[in-house]
Amino acid sequence: MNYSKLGNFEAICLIVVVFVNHIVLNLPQMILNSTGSASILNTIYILLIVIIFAILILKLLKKFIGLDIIDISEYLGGKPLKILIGILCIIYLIFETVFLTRMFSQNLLLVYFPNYPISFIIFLFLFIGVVANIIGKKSIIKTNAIIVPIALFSILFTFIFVADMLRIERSLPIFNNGLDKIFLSGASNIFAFNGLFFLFFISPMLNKKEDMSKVTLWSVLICGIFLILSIATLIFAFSDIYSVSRLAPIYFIIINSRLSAFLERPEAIFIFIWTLALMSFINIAVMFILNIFKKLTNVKEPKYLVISACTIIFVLAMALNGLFNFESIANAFYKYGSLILIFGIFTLILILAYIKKRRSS
Amino acid sequence: MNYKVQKFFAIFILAVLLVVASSSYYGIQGIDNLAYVVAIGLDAGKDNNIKLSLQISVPNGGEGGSSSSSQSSSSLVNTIECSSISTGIALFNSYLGKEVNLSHCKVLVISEELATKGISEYLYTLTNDIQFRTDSNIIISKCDASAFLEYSTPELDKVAARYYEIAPTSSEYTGYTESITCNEFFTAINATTSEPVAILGSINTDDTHSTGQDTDSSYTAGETPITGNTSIETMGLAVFNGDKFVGELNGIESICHLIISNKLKNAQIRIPSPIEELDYIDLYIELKKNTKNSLYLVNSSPYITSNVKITARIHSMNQNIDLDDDSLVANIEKYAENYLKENISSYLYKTSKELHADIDSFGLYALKYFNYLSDWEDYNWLHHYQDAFFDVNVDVDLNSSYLLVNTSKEKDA
Repeated sequence: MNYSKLGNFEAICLIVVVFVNHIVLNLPQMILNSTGSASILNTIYILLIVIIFAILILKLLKKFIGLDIIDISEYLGGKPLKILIGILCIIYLIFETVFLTRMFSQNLLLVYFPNYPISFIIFLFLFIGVVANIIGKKSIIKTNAIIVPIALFSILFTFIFVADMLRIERSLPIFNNGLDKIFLSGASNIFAFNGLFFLFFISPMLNKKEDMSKVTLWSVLICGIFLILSIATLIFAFSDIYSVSRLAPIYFIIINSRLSAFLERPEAIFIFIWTLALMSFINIAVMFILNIFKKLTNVKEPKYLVISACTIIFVLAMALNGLFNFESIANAFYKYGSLILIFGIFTLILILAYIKKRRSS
Repeated sequence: MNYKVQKFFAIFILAVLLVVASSSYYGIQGIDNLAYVVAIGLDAGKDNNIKLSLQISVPNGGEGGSSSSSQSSSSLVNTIECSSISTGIALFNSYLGKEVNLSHCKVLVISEELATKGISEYLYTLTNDIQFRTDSNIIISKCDASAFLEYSTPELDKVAARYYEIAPTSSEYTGYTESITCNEFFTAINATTSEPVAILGSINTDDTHSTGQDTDSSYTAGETPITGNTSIETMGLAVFNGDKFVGELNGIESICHLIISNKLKNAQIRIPSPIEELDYIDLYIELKKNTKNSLYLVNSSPYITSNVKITARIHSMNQNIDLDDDSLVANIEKYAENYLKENISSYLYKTSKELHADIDSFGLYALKYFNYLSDWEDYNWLHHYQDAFFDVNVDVDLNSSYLLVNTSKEKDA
């Protein structure tokens, strides 16, 4: 993709924004549900796996400096593969946006606007997406670089205010339901790092192409540290966290933290910050959808298709009714969609393209 | 971007913002449409029903009120018999002509009678409620919850909501109770390592006063012989086994609970005196270091040791007391250690043998002996806690008195 030059920090924020949005929704609860009191051990384990995965991807990408996964697919399998991967990426991004927007709007509706129609809130989010993408990519990336650190800081701030409630003993029994649940089936929790999706697209955007490894490793480390921190806080602070599943555990931490001793409604500030983070994610996702579309179709100026893209997202988000069903579908997509596309298909394409390149050279 | 397109979008966004900002949505609710609840009371009703009492804030200190409601300067209390909290609130909405809002609720009061039957249903329902704040305090009332709310008119505070906010913090300087939130109670109900406790409250009247207690800290809520207007009192703790109320802790037992669970800020205790000038000595105590609890499993029975380190200051004073005298200080320390050791041991055995409730989360220390969740669940900690035996060590460090150090006449001479 031959658009704006991306600094290292902006690139890191681009990858981390996906993670931030998931962590304020239900990512920690999903991991806690699968591995219980062994979740910290499991998260450290998946962080190690993802670091190894990132190193492997970086090694493979070295042969394709300045190319993204769409270009690499074209190199490997010609136009058919390029179109196939492009369509898969667009579908993935659309559904990721649909589920995140719907889930966040649903929670926002529950907490603050019980009498409002959900369409109104989703429309507002997508309206921002339309406006931002028409204004330009540079502003989206710069804004994201401001919002992501604030959102990360807000999450960190949350944990500080429950420090007095923490008891390390709550992380026991250390192996919870068995070693196989932690190290075999628990390995599938690497889906938590699905922000790595953008890793396969930022190579041509980077200002300094040689800094790709720095960007990747820093992104993985930031996500890993915050994931461990959020899970550890939930486990150490609440002894019923395994037995009672909650909609948004980080929100739950805030309303029960010591912050309420200083502020009457501390969660309002955090929800505002997270709303900005979701808007930023929507902007970025729509931006990538348009650019992949441009690559596939050779459209000269795809930005005017933004209204169509956002309309599709809006319609799909509205089509998902019934919170309980919707959540299980969203979680399944989030988990298996990420595993299949990012850790499966993308990696396979990279490996095969790498082998092809080596043979040809 | 084309300048015309930019201009078009700028005007469009401005127009949308103006329309949204200046319009009133049909779903908007102003404070005039809402009745803000500051306290919820739950009593046992007839035929498995409950009596739901709501203390509702009257913004202007209002006038009037129905015959079924009592009124303080800033709030009124209404009670309704209903089958659940949700239907009760719906009935209140209909009766009051305003929508009941729980977002400013500061306290949940449940009567002992209802608590004995089990309260998990109400706790789960309220925790599931988006308006209800789980950082509200939970009080178990020895009298009816509705009566508790009606007499909650504080003498020194005109606003009931503010009183409910401030009152539980008295535990920080008395140690006679603990500020327990609904969230803490809820998590303890669901935990496999501990049992919940709640604040114990009652109306204090001449009829409820207790006489013949050994020390001032042996009272529970309502028993303190205070004369004055009939008012509510929070003192002691209500102990639960699961979601069922099983017993009470008095003031000194609450202090012991706070010492063992490392939550004691400071407290006043009255110990027997080793000097003839004083019958009793009042000590102001605080934790010097966090209490170190250890747990060993001996033939599957928990053996629990607690090492308590306390800093104390003498508050009582009389003539002929020389606190520069090291032997006297050591003697007072020894008396204080014995007093605290005896009380803490007695408290621990009461929770274990009598109440069968691990309210100090000793279960957390037992977890290290189990690698897998299934082993822990099979062991059933809460059942084994009644077989526990305790070893308490107390180390009191008498720092000083306050302003007077030496009142011995010999020294003056």
